[in-house]
Amino acid sequence: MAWILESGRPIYQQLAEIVRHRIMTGEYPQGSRIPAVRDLAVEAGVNPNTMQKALNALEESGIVYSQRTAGRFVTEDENLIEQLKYQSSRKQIQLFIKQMQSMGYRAEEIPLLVERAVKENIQEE
Amino acid sequence: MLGKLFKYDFKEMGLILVPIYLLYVGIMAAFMVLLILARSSQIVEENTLFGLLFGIVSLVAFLSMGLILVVGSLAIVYHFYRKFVTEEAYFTLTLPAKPWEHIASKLMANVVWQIITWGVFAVSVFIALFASGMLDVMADSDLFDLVLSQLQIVWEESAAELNLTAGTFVLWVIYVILSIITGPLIYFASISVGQMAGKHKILASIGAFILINMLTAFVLGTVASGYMNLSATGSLVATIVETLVMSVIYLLITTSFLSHNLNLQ
Amino acid sequence: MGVLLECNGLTKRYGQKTAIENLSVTMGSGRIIGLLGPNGSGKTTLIKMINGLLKPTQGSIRIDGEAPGAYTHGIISYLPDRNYLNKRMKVRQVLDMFSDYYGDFNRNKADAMLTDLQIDPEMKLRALSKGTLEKVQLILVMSREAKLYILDEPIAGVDPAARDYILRTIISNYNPEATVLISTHLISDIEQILDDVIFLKDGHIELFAPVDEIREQEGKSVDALFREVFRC
Repeated sequence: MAWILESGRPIYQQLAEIVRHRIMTGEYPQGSRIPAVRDLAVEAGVNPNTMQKALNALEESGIVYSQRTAGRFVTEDENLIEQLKYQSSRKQIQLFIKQMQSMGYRAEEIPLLVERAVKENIQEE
Repeated sequence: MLGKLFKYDFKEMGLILVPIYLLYVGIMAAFMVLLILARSSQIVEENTLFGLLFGIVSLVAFLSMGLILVVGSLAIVYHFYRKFVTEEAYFTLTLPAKPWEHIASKLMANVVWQIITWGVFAVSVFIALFASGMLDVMADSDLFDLVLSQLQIVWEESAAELNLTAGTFVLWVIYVILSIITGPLIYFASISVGQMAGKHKILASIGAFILINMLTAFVLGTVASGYMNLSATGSLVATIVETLVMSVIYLLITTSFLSHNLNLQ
Repeated sequence: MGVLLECNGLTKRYGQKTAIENLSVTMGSGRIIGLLGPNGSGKTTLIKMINGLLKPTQGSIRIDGEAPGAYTHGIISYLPDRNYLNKRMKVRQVLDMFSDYYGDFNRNKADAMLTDLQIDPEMKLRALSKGTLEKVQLILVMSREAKLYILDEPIAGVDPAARDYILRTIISNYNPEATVLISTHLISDIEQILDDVIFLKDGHIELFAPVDEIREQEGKSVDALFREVFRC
């Protein structure tokens, strides 16, 4: 996931989201070392203090942990990452459902729509 | 820091002066060649074009010999102006140096370039004498000895009359050295005063220069009447003291500009 | 985080006109601070006073505890909003000069940046384009290991690629002991590299706050807030 930032929200929150997403997708695999704050800051083109704040937030939630000298690592806890993925999927689905409902679909119709779309998608491939 | 400042002041003045010296050497070389040619043949009489050329080159060469002696002073004024008044002042004045270090290094660079200027001038005069054959004439005719003995007579006579001693001569040397060292300060002070004007700062600087000169002459004239009846040695001492006092005043004006009244637009 | 820069009751008048009015501010180390304000708000006047190029009419400035002078010039690395070097010099000669004058000048860093930006050190400054000359000046300023960097409009005249390089240089140069003060009117380009912003309005500080605090409380970017505060 690229470092694309919106203008209306705190930068550190968005940075934390992007790193979290990278962990979920395995770009930063479980147990691996996360690049140094300064390198991440340069990559994202943001202030190193802000990147630090983002990583601190992730550390508080337990997704990453720091070892004094070696740097920061992604958690070894598979459940935690799974849980994260699940939460994230819930959020996306919630959004999706809201949109579908606003288009006039009833709740029970939505799973059918999804099912059909998934099937067609596979056929296309 | 003083040594570093001097290094770059010397170099940057060289960027102005070296091309001028090269031009001067070129003019003098052309003059010598024509001079030797003119002496060894009848070409000046026979060829009007050559005669004209020789005349023009001689004139330019004589003018250059006069101008080369003031070029050094113009260079230090221009250099000071560049470093403290143009956009380069943003660099100069944010260097980790004190105002007195800036001024001292510029005075030092000026002294060295003055010496080089006089060296170039002396060599050019010597070669001119040689090329014109005057040197041979002088050597042949014991002219040197004659001039030296005449100088000696004048010195001895005036020494007796004015009560001159070897000490006076030392004082005179001190005065000359002091004048060379402190010479540019009046220009620095004038530029500094000129900067206080809102507009037309260069004009204001020239005005300030004239004014400072007049004030100096007035003050010194008043003071000088006080030691009219001093001996030659005494008045030389007085002149040295005067130069020192005036230099300190110019220095104070300049440093106060550099550290208090600076207003870069 | 000690106090690096402190202004107290700072006022600057030019005749009748007041450029800075009774301004007091304190900045610590380890921050990247944006000094934002429209033209004529007093940004450059404030910067010149910190660098000792203008004398305050009233009030005081202390940098690392000292008034502007030889010591503070040695710990401030200042990029003015104009070309301030002797253009008859070659790039390499200017680098030599900075090595001589500034004990904190990191020559290797400067050489590396010249290579990155493909600038030939044997070129005379006079022969460089305006943008390239600005880059050379920025390289000189950022290659010092100073306590306070003051950059006056560093990205105004350069192309987007160079602007990215400059911003990356500022970030990768980040040092918890040093503070970077950047004045600019191109806020949206620079917003995400800043810790704090100062809004300067008619010679006084309208706002001094962390960027993320502004975004959190106002729900909008600093750029958007700026446009609101300074709406004509």
